[in-house]
Amino acid sequence: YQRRVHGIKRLMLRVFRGISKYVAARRFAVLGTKPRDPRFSALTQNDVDYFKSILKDNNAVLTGSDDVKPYNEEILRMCDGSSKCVLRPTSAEQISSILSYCNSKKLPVVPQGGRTSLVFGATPTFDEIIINMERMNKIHDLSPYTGIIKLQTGTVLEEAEKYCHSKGYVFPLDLAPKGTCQIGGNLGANAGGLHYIKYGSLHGNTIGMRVVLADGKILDTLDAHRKDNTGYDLKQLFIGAEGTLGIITDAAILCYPKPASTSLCFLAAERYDNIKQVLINAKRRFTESLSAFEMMDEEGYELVRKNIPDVKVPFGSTKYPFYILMEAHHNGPQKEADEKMMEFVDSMKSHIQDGIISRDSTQSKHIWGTRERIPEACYREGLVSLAWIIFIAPFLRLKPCLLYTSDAADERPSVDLGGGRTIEKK
Amino acid sequence: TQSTWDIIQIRMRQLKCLVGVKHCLDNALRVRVDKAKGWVDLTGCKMSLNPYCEIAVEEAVRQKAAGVFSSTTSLTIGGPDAVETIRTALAMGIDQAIHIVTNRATDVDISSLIVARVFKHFIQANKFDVALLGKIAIDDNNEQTSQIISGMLGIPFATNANKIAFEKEGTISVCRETDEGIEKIQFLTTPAIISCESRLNVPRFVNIMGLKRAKSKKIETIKLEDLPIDHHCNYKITSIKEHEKKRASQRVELSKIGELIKEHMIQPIFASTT
Repeated sequence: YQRRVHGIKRLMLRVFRGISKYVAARRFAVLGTKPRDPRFSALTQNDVDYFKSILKDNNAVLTGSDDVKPYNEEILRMCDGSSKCVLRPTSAEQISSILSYCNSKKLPVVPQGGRTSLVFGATPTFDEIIINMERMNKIHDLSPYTGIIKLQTGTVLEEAEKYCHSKGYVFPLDLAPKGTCQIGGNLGANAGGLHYIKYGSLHGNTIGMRVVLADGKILDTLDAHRKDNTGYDLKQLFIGAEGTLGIITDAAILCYPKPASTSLCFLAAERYDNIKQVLINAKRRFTESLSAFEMMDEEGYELVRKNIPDVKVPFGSTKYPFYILMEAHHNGPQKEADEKMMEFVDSMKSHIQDGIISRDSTQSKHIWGTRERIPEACYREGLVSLAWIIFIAPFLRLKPCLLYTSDAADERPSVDLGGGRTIEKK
Repeated sequence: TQSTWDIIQIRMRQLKCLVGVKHCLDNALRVRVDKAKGWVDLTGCKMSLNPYCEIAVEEAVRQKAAGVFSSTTSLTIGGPDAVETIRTALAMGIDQAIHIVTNRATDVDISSLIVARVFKHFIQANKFDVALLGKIAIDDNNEQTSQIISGMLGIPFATNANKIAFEKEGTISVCRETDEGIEKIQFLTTPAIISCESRLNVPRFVNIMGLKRAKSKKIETIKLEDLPIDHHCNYKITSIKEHEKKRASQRVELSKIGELIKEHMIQPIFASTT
């Protein structure tokens, strides 16, 4: 594929490597000189006392500078906030009291979950009050008939997944940061996840929701049926609203039966067209049991190989232009699943250059790691790369976009990899 | 481009390598000890290549690619289902395989002494120059095979190899990992035996190309009883049981500490290691 602006990128990297050490410069790169809106009031001791009276637990209201510091720290450390008060409620009623009070006093508020947001959505821009959902991590139940799990949105995604696995179900969302990110954040961002191709989006999988609106009203559609087409489907507004319309406190998510076995393969292809062919054939061969189809390019693979020593990359140091990660579920024993995958890979030999089929869970971990840890590898390569993209973007009128897209069958004539690099589809 | 003389020199220096490959319980699985029977039942469990043998195989394949070895052969003692593991080794790049078939359980019934006798037979018969073994098998944990072979044959050996270098003069230098640091040993003669540690290399994945090539590679099958060696195990494992769980830590009140000290000081210090 072709790379434009490559020489300029090298020069800019050297220049900004010096600047990127200073948080202020990074913050400027993100926010520019945007001032705090004067219509919002500032936090006073009276407000803190009121919060303490609502959240009766000692640790629910944090005001000390050391206590509050980790909640202000953003994952990329580019745009740390300066909030002075963190609230950690345990129920929707508490959040309702807090929000109605803040609404009447015009105190700005930011809802916060796992702080894994890569777009500066989890931390305050200035000194907004942080409402952190980490204590609302109860899982209510998982109905064995409908497969609907009801849980509070402060649950860490990995915990929800483990709970579902123990009941023979699988949570429809699976992300790389699953050890830290919370369901509330996933709903707010309408996270897709690695198995999007099979399970679809959270819009389809969220059956009910309890959300506290900005003025304290609670909108409760939690006890909904599997099919419910009555009235306006208001909960859809909050999925993807990024916490701007309300704080989601509970959710009812549809879970799917756990497959008996999965087969995972990692293929190497020479051209983008080959990837499209493999996708079409995979869909025909596996139909609904195709559970993941991820594409990576040479550079992403190289970054993981260089920067993440824990992950054993599948092809070692051999370089190919494109890579495909494909996973399929199967209803029978593991051996059959592997044979089926082997047959499929054999039939694809005219489209791919090489392939690996995972033999056990350790190998699967390494293969998934190669895909999931690409963002981490990018950050280890240099924080400055991200800073450069965001800093230079307004000047070159480029849209900084996610480096890797899961939708390999994009119909646009070219794929934008961000930073001025594009793939022209031949 | 190499001149004919260089090629002849390289070919003359090339060594024949024997790699030990063991078919055992998969590394990721937890061993289940049947308390009633006092035994480990492996039927139905996933079996695969011993991770240390995998490292030995990877080293052999790399040295073959570097031109040090002229050919690599793997040696496996196991049942008929061990063919799966042998194919994995062949797919990683081993040239040919020898499969010693036996119906006895390789984790409890085949002692290191028997394995060493088999290796000795083949090293002498086929005139191998280097034997690469894994340092330990994860099922029986004996960690003795390479040492016994070298004792039987009277040849140099190095265990826990961290790094292996084959020099032009025909010597082999091996860095061993010990508790006190890295020990460097130089072998002046072949044949020699080296057993591999986990930091030697990172084994490659088995890819489709390798599996295809493996289908055409030769596996020589011989029954254990047909070999001219003593294959009787000179000991018998009577039972297997799990470790006793360590005493969990407990919280005590300050006033009760005196009693606790008296209670635990009376017990001898080594009780927990029996």
